[in-house]
Amino acid sequence: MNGWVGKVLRVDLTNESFGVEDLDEDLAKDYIGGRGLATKILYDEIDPAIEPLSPDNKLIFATGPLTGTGAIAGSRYMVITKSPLTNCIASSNSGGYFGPELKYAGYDMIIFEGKAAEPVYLFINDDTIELRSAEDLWGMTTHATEDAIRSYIGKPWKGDQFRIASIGPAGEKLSRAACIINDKARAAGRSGVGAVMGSKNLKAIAVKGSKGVTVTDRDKYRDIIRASIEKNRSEAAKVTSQALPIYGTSVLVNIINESGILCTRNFQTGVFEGAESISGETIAETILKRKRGCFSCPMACGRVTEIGDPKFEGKGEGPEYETTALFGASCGVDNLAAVTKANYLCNELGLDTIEAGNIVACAMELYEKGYLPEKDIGFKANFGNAEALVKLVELMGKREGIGDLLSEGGYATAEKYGHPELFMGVKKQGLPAYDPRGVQGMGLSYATSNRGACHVRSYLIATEILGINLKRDPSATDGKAAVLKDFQDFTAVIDSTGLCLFLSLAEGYGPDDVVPLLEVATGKSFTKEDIMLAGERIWNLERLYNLKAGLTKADDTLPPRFLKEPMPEGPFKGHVCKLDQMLPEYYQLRGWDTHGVPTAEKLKQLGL
Amino acid sequence: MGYPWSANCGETKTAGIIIKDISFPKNTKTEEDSSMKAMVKKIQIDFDKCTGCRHCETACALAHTEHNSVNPYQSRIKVFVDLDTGCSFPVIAGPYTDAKCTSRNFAIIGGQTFNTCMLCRASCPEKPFFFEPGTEIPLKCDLCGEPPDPSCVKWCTSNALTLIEVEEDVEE
Repeated sequence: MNGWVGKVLRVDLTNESFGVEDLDEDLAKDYIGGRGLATKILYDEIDPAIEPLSPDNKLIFATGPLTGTGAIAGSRYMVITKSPLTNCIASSNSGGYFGPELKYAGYDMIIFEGKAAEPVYLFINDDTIELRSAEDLWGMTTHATEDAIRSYIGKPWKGDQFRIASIGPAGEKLSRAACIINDKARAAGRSGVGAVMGSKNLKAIAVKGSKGVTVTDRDKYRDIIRASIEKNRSEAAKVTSQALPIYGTSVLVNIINESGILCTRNFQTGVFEGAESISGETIAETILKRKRGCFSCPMACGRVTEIGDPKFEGKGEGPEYETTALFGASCGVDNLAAVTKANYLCNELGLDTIEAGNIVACAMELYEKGYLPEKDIGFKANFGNAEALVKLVELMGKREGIGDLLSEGGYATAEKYGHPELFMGVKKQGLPAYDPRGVQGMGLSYATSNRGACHVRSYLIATEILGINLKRDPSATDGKAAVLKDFQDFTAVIDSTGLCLFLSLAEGYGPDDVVPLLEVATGKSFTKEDIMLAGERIWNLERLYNLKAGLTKADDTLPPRFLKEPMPEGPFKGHVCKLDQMLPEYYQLRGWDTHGVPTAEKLKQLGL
Repeated sequence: MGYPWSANCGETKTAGIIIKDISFPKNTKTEEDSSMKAMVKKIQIDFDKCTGCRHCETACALAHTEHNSVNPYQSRIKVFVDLDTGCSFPVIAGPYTDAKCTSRNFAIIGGQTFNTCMLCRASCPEKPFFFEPGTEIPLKCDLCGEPPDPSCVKWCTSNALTLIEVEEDVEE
């Protein structure tokens, strides 16, 4: 096969056995790869009723047909499983070098089943596949794990060629905020995928591949890539060619704050007085050392940083926007060093920064309102307390003290103290850093996302705030459902190809940019309609899985704060999110009934 | 003189330090001087700008593949990435030497300490890169033909790789 490498590696951890299967070409065409194909496998193989942290769950690492082909920003892989945080589909995306390397070793996908009796890590060197003991690695941070595995393999050059994805202590201890870290600083972050890996006693995957991946016509493929490089250098692509490389994603901090929708003190308001000191501009002037790009990515939004403040010293990568805004604004902390330190801790302990930020912010509000007593925490945890932020993240990652409860998620924490409404999340997953009271479409996006609150299932900020392609009124509800549907379907396509969603932040980027790459890479014919239908198919299949897992229309909602408490200040003062004005229209456009269930007619149209 | 581009060395720079790399001379004889002057095209590598995206590796692999294959192991340029410092070192394939260095050196450049092995373009038993997988044929940069038009430079968006032209004395 071209584009796809055509093999799926199945690892039975219980019996320590492997199987290599052929990729089903027809399925690959219908679901593209990555997120789509892995969702299909999840749907077919994982009973929605299972307990996510039991051996019955499976953990799927999936690349797309464009991953590692040299297509710009074609570095991504997905981790699909049943989430221990949301109890519905988990579908996390990461970049770096790991995904391409997995393909070069000859596998589009790895499916882990069962549970290893003792901690293990999977070693892949082309056709050599071994489960090796991870007894000595258990308890290590993700950085130490990568270093140790590389030194086992051979210092420095043999080991350096291996790309490693691992969990830290948070994943081992089944924290529902645990992520999977690859290449030391790239994260398949959300929905607690790290805990599923930990529940399987799987510490890491180390992979090296020398087989490469083929495309159908290299000359045509090079022409397309060269054209896309030129396009990305043009004025139309100023977000991807200038804003992201120069300031990283944190370029958004000031923009979002000025727009009055920056999550501040657990989303109590949308304006943060300390935004400037944690902005992308400040990062570039103070802690930034270098810019880092994922595989074949010209945007290089990664930030290599070093903290000068002796109180929070360290070096590593980050923070990016969501991290800055959630650890910063949402915790009321304007100390960039503390925010960055919390980010480093998350990378090393294997925690999702968005989830951790929401959990800490929620705990701080519970503390300030007197619901969470100081004796349970052990120290003062008011908003703006930089030391408390760093300490709480560390406790959460190690599951010590109050961290044990925090690891169960923000919803569980808020519920324990009698105020579940103070956790800002959807389907028990924490909200990204945009207050939906000011961006109506984004509110609908959060409410309807298949993996719980999420900004990368449909980034309507692009149109509602940034005005990419078309500036739409953020406070209008009319027509948002239709825009959202298109964004959701197209995002599912991008995630399935192995490209990075950030490409879509370039002016004019659309399905027409993806089709030629897919065609020349795979040799199959695709039309714009085909891929958008595939996106819709994927979205509906995710929805069906969630419904079978017990989710209902009642879960397509937002925390009461956004629906009832008017925004207290800023450009959107007095606004709430008018979800009820958009949701029925959204169901209708989706071809779902009034309960949000796909109709038989729609499923037939999608071939489901 | 063998392959002109392997005999002549070009320039690369890291934090202002110039080190040697590959070049492609175009001979021109000057009137006054009996020695040969040549306008030489070189790839200049600015390590400070490299983001470690390794797009040059796929560019090179795609430019040289005979099987429509994208495989960084077939590339004549390789980016060595130090995940701890985030520093990335694009290195263009150099000659094979069958003995590894007996001492490991460190260089301090711009205040940071680097293992010089990272910057070295030789292939050796310790660091055996730049062999085509399967055939084990050593890989050499050909600057993508004559006149030089290297794919890696064209694909490098961070401008870490640039094609420069300088006049140099060359052996007759």
